[in-house]
Amino acid sequence: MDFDHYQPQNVFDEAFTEGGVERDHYKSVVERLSDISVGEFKTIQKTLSLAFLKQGVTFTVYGDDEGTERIFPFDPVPRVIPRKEWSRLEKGLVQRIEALNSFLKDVYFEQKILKDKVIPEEVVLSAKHYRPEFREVKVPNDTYVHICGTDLIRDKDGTYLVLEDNCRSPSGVSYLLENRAAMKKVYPSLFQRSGVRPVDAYPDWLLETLECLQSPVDRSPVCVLLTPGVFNSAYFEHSFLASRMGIQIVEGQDLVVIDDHVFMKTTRGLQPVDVIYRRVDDDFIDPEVFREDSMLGVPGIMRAYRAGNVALANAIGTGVADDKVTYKFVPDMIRYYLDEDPILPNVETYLASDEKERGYILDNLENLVVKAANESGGYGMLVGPKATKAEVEEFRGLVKKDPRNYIAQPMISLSTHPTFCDGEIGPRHIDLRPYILRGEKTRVIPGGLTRVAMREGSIVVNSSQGGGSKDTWVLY
Amino acid sequence: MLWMGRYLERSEGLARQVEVTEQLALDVRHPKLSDGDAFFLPIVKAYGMEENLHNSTSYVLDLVYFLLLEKSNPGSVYRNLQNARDNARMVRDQLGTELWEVLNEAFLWSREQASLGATKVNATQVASRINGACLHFRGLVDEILEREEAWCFLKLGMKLERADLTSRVIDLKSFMPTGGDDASKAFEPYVWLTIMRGCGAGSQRGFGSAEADWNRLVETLVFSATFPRSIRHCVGRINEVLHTLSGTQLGVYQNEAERVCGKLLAELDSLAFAGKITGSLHDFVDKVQKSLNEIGTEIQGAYSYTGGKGDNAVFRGQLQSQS
Repeated sequence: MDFDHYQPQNVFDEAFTEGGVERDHYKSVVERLSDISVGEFKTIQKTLSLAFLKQGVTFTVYGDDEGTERIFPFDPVPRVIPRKEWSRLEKGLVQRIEALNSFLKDVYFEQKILKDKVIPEEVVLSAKHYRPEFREVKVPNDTYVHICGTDLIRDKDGTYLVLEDNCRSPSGVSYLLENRAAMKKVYPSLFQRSGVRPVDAYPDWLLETLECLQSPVDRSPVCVLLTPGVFNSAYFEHSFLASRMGIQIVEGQDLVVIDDHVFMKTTRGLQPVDVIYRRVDDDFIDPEVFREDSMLGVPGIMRAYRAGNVALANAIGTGVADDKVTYKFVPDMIRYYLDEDPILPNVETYLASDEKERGYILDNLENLVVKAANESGGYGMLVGPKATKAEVEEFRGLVKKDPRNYIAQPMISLSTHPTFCDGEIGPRHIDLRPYILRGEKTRVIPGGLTRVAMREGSIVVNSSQGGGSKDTWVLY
Repeated sequence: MLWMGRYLERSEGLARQVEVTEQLALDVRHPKLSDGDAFFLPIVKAYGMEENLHNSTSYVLDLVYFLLLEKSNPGSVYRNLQNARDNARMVRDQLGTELWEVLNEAFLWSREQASLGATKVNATQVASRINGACLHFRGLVDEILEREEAWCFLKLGMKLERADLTSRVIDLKSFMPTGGDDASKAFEPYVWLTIMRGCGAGSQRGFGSAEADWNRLVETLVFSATFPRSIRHCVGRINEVLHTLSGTQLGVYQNEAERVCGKLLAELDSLAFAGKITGSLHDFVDKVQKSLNEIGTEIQGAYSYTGGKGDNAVFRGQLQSQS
């Protein structure tokens, strides 16, 4: 594999300096990859794709008539994060999840941060995923967000910035684990002597995180994973995690609520359930409380939840914390609750709901990235500099019509990483989603999902938009 | 037939062991102890292949090759396949074409791999090919062979070998670094996983990478009445097949093999009921291996002319006289 012609673009490149010299922590990887011929590399990539297909590591793309089941394109050049850099990231992520939890507890109880006007009241009260019906409902260990996936990007100088927090049910961790497993199988020699920290412990940690939420007196806690069902795009991940944790995967119809206690229907009768790792959104979880038309939920589950008889991970109402408008205030939360300076900065964000900032947004639509406050997966988004005139005008209308629902950010050119495309190595844009678990301790799995935009120049890394992924190595 | 079953089972067991160990070893990093010393030399020891290892190496690639494909190592996967194939040739008439082809193809493939040399071998690929072939073979045995002597002997060979392999894998605990010191602490979770996964208890629900849980290991790999590779499960099946073979009711015995097997099973049942092993695991495993050997010897005593010790020729004569 030839790295001689690798040309870093005018942005931060993970592996090479501007002068085209490989960075220290990439030396052994580049050296080893240089020994592999293009032909061999193609075989490796093909073997990997086949392995994913065989294992059924696939996801579903909505609105695609044929071939809705796709494999996540995988790039065999690993992303490497040195130890020191990682430990700083780790601290920053832990800090953030602490602040978000304090914020959620505050919002659902005293609302001090609103009274102190650190965050404008209407930001929270108007958030789509704010659940006032659950104010004053106590949750175990005061933890709302047990599982968090935070999206990070790097700007021109290589500074890590937080792009968004995913506090509802972040997905993708199964790809992280499967990517690693496949890489180890296909080229073990790349790992030898590099010293890569294992990620295998995630399912164990996750189970510990769930189990510490309830402690029934006479038995160990029973945890289940609640899935929307086999047609959900992330069903592979649901079954993967349930199986690795050794817990049952259930759909709404498998659970029943009796006297405010949740039970699972089994071939040997009803079994009490203590903790639910739910991958069903708030809106669909209980037709008695939220959407009446939901077929995915469990009627009465919210009664059991309020009574403290069942714990949910993540808790109800966490969506208010990953609203893109709330996002702007996370650094303020860190200062307010923890009295610390944020370790990981945000991307500069303008709110359309603020009159002054809205003016700025409307004047600069062509240069900004505009996002809907509650969309994900790269939907509902305008990338100004790459958009057509018509698209810009469409968003102008949208922003004017519903300013609360839009934010804008300057266009950050994501860092690039050597990626194998069309028979050669070229720079492609990447981001990083690490996963944080908050149980008795807060832990970050040493690795993350590195998503890569496989099209040259593209900065949209979402899997639903043709993005791929890479194995992410955190070094010992 | 009995030895064919044993060789095949052994080649699968060893291939699986090497693969899971190689994958796990990639996650460990220790300043003093190399992966070769910590993981692969113990396998060489547990399988009793030390004397075949001529050039003392602790280099992982060499050891992996030695265990999988080395032609001069009589214990290697390659040699086991070769032996199984040699046996199969003798009884091709009873096996039928399909079974023969599966075995022959696997052997030819591994011969090709062996010629690539140590640096080009991918343990995962070898293991998945060999394991696939063994599974295919077993499936055919159960689906197309009549439940006559040939089937019985194949089953006996496989189950005896499997029980023996499980005991050897458990014994890795004595050879790999575990117990108090620094190195052990770093390695212990991996040793536990090596053993569990080495016995195929890896992809089942809930066998994650938790901390080493030695009680669970004994429960699953020794006592379990439901886990197909547990020693107790295997001995139970051996017992059944022995009685099918002789037409004697369970609980009554007609030959020494049945008696020794019944005794071992009763001991395992009562230990399983008590829930723990008294004394050291290593001694226990040793005792089990002795009983298994005794069963093997007595099967030969009961069903061959000479009642010799594990000699293929005897069985060849026996089986040929049956056909």
